[in-house]
Amino acid sequence: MRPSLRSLSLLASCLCTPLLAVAQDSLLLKDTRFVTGVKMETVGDNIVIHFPHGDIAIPRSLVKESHIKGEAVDASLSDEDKSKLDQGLVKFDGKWMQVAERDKLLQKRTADREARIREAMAHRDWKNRYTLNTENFAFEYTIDPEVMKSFADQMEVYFKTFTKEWGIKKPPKLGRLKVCFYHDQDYFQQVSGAGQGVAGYFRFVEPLELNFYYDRLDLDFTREVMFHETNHYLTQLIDTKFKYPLWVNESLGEYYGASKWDQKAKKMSIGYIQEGRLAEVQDAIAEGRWQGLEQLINMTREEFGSEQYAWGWTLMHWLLENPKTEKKLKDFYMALARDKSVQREIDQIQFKQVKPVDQIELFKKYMDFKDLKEVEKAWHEYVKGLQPSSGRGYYEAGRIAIGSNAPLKAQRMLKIALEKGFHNPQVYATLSRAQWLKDQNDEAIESMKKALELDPLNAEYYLGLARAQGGTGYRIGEETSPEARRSQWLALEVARATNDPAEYAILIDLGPDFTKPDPALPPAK
Amino acid sequence: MMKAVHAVLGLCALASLAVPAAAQKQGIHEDTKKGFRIKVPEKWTTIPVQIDEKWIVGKFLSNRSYETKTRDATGGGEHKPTIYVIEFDDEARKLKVQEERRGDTTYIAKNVPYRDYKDYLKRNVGEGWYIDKEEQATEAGVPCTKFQVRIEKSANMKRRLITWLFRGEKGEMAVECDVLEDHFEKLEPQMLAALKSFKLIPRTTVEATAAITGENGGDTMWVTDRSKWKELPVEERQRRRKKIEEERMAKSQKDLLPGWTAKRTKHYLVLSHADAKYTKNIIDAVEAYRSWMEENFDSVSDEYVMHGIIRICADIDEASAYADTSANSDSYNSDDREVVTWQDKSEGNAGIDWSRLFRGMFAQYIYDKDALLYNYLPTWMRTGLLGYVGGSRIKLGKLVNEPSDRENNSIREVERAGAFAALKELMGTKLEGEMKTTTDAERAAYWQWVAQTSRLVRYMYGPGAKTPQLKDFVVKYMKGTIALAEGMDAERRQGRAAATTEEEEKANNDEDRNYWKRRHTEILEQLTKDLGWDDATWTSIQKAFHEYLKKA
Repeated sequence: MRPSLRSLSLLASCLCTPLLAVAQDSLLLKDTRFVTGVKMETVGDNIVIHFPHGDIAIPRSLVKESHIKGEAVDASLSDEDKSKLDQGLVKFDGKWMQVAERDKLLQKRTADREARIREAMAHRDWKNRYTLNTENFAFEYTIDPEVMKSFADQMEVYFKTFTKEWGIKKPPKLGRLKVCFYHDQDYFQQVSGAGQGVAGYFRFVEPLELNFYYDRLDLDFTREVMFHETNHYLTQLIDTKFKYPLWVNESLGEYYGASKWDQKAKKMSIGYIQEGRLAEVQDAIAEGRWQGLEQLINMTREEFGSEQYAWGWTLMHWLLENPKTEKKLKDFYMALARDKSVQREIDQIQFKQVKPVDQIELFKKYMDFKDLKEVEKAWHEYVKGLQPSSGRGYYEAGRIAIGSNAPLKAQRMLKIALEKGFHNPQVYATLSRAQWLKDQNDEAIESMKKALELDPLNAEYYLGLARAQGGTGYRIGEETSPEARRSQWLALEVARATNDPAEYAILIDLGPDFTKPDPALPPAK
Repeated sequence: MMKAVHAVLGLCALASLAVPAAAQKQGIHEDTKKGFRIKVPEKWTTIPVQIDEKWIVGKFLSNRSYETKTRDATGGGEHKPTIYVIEFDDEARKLKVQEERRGDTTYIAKNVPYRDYKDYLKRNVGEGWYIDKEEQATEAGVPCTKFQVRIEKSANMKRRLITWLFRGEKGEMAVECDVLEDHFEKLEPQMLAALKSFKLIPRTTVEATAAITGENGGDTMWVTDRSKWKELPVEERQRRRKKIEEERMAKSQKDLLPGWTAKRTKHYLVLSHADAKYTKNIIDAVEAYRSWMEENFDSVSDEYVMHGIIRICADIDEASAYADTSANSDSYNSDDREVVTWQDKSEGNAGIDWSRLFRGMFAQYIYDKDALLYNYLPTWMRTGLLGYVGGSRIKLGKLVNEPSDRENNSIREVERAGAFAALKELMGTKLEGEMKTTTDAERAAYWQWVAQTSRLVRYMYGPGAKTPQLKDFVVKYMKGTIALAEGMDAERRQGRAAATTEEEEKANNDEDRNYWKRRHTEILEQLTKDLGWDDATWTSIQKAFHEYLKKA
C-alpha cells in the first residue's frame, strides 16, 4: 500500500526531527579504536564515513558504539500502524510514543553515548588510566574495560591452574602483581620504555611488574604474549631471588604462550603447537640448522634469539607432552632453584643462578639421561615428527621471511596460510607488501584490497595500496595516478580520523604536498 | 668635531659587532638571534650548543648534583638538573624532499623534522614516559602550554620534566626543566622561577655567515662519489676541505660563551673552559700528537686532513651536557672534526685522559686520509692501533707511548698461562666475530687477545721497526687495505640483480648477513698473501715478538 502524503510527512519528521546541538560524529569500534572528526551516516547495515577523498563503509558488526549527529537511532514503521501515525505518534525502540517523548529519549541516549565515548577516550592517557584489582593482580590499563575484564579472568585462571599444577605457593607478603596493559603497541613502547621488537616484558626485580599491549589485529598474539610473560612471574614464585636460565625460562614461557582460552567455560588448556615457532624451526631444519642442546644451554642473552625461542619451545613441548618425562622436567625445573645439593652463584643484582655445567649435570640427573647427546638425538627425532603448521604458523613464517628480506619466500608462506583458512587482514597486507617488493603490482593491489575489506579503517593499508598503485614517489619520474593519489589521501585521512600513532610517519612518507589541502578538491563550504 | 664623532661611532660599531648574540648578565641569558631571555638559577652553567644542532638553542646545567633516594644494582644514581630551550621553528618543521642524481642513480632524501614538543619527547626520551599534566595558559600575555612529563618505567632514575611551550612569531619554543622525581618538590619552585622569567624578545641579530658546506650544505663527494672525487686534482680536493674546515671553525668560535677562550694553533682550534695552565698543556699535546700522526701516516694517501676543533670542558658534567643533542639526524654532520675532553680537577695533570683525546684525533685523521679505512681495515689492526694510540701521553713535556696497566696485566696473564697467540693467528680472523664476550672468562680472553694486538703494533713501532719485513708495516697495510676495499666498495654500491627464486634470495641474504666478516676475511687473506712471508719468516718474527712480550 502506498503511504499517504500525511504519513510520509510524519515519516519524514520521524527520521529528520532535529536533535539538540551535540558534538561531532564519532564511533567506538569493537577493536577499541575511536573514529572522530569526520562526517558519518548510517546506510543499511553499514556506517558510511565520508572522507574528503572517498567514502568508506564500515559494517555495523565492527562497531561498538556510534554517535552520529542528526540521526535517529531506531525508527521503524509498519504499514499496519498507519492509524498510529495518523494520531501523530511515532515508533521508537519498538514502542509508539509522542514525538516529544521520542526526542527526549534520543537526546538522553545520544548524550550518554557521547559521554561514554568521551570517557573512554580520556582513559587512553596513562594519567587517567583505569585500574582493576583482582585476587592476584593489580591492573592498570588504557584499553576497553570489557577487553581488560576478559584478560583479567584469563590471568586469574592461569594463576590458579599453574600454581596448582606445579605445586607453587605465592610468598604471603608478595601482594598483587602490577600488570600494565596498553591500547596499542606505540603507547606500550612510549610508557613502558620497551624497545623495538619487544611485545611484552616482566620486570623480575622489585617492584615486580608486567607490561604488554593489545594488538587489535591479532587477539591471539596478545594472548600469547600475556601467557608467556605471566609465566615468568609464575615461575619466579618458586624462588623470588633465583634467576632461571634462559633455555628453560623462555622455553617454558613459549610452551605456555601457546595455551588456549575458552571464554565461555573460563578455562585454559595447554600443550598446543606454537605455530609461528614451529614454522621457524621447520625453516631452520630445511636450511640444515639443527640446534644443539649443549649449545642452547650455554647461550647468553645476546645469543638467544628468535630461533632459540623456537627450538626451546619444541624441547619443552617434547618433554611436557610425554607423560614419562613431564614430571621429571617439572622436578628438574623446581630443583634448579631449590635442590640443596646444587651450587649457586650470586650475580651483580643479588640473584642466585646455576652455571651451565651444573645445569647440565642436574638435567641429566633428573631426566635420567647419561649423555646429553642421547637427549638431543631423541629431541630432534620428536621435532621431525611434529605436524606442519596450520595457517597461522605459515603466516608467522611469512612475516618472518619478509622481515628477513625474503619476499619470494614470504609470498609462498602467506599463500599457504590463506589456503589453510587463516584469513586475517594482516596476511593479505603482508602478502601485498611481498608482491610489491617484487614489482608484482597488480597482485599487490588485489591483496591489499582484500585486506581493506576485512579492516576498512587501516591507514597503513591505504598507504600500501597507494604504493602498489604507483604513488609515494618510490618510482622516480612516474606520474602518480589519480587512484594512487586518492589512496594516499585516504591513508592520511583515515590515520587522522582514527588517531593512528603512525599518522606523522605516513605524512613524511607522502611528502610535503600532503601538508597542504588537495588543490583538486572543491573548497569546503 | 666631525672626526671625533666618527671615531666614537666607529668604536660603537665595533662594540656592537663584538657583543655576542647570546649574552649573560647576572644570571640572565639573552639570545638576540633566537629571540629569548631567561634567568637561570644562581651558579648554573650555560652550556654551548653544538654548531650542527638544529633544535636545542639553549642549555643550562645545575652546579649541584642530586641523588636518588635509593640506589642499587637495578637503578639509582646522581643527576644534575638541566634546563633546555628547544625551538620548533615553523620553517624547520616543513617537510622537504631533496633529489640528487649521481651517475644513473637518483638519491632521495626526506627530512624528518620534529612536528612539535610531543614528537620531540617521543624521539628523545629513551625511557618510559607519559604526560601527567597539560594545560593551556598565558604567561606575560603570551599563549603557553604547560606540561609535566613523568619518566618512570625502564628508567634508571625516575625524573620529571616541567616544560612551558610558548608560541612566538616564528614557531614554538619549549623551555624544559629536567629534575629527579625524588627531588621534584624541592626543586619545583626554582624551576618555576626560571620558567616565569622566560621571555620572548625581538630577534635583532641576524645570522651573518653563509650556510656551512659539508653534509648539510653540499660537499660530501669523497663519501658519495669516490671515483669523481679522486679525479679532482689534489689542490682542488684540499681547497674544498679547507673551505669546510674554515667555515666550521668560524661558526664554532662565534658567540663564544663567557669563560670560554679560543686559540687557533697550527692545526687546531682549541676552545677551552678550563684553566689557562691546563689549556696550554692540551694545546702543546695536540700539536705534538698531530706531528706524530703526520710523520707516521701522512703517506697513507694524498688527502688533506682537515684541521679540527679541540673542546676542553670545565668538567665531565659539562662535557656530557655538551654532547647531549636532539636525536634528529638533521643535527648530525659527518664533517664534524671536534674532539671533546674535560679538565678533571680531582686528578690534576695526572688525570688527563690522553687516550680519549688522542684516539679521537687519530680516528679523525685516519678517516680523512681515507674513509674506506673506517669500515674495511681488518679488526686486529684497528684494535691494535687504537690500543697503541691510547697509550700515548705527555710526560715531562714530551710525547711518549706507554702501555696501560690493563694491557700490561693482560699480557702477564697470557704469559702465566703460557698462551701467547701465534703471530699468524693474531694477524688473522679471530677478532672478526669469532670471539664471544658474554661471560667473564670470554671477556678476559678477549682483552688478552686485544692486548696482544696492541703490543704487536707497539712492537712494530718499537724494536720491531728494525726488522726489514716490519718497516713501515702499518702504512703499507693501510694502503693495501684501501686498494682492495675500493673494488669492494664500488661493487657494493652497484648493487646486484634482484633475486628471481627463493634460492637466489637466500643466497643474497646470506651474503649480506656476513658481509663485513667476509670482506675482512678476504682482505686479510690477500694482505697476508701479499706479505710473501715464508714459514721461516713467520717463525722468526713470532719468536722475536714473543720475547718482546715477555719483557712487559
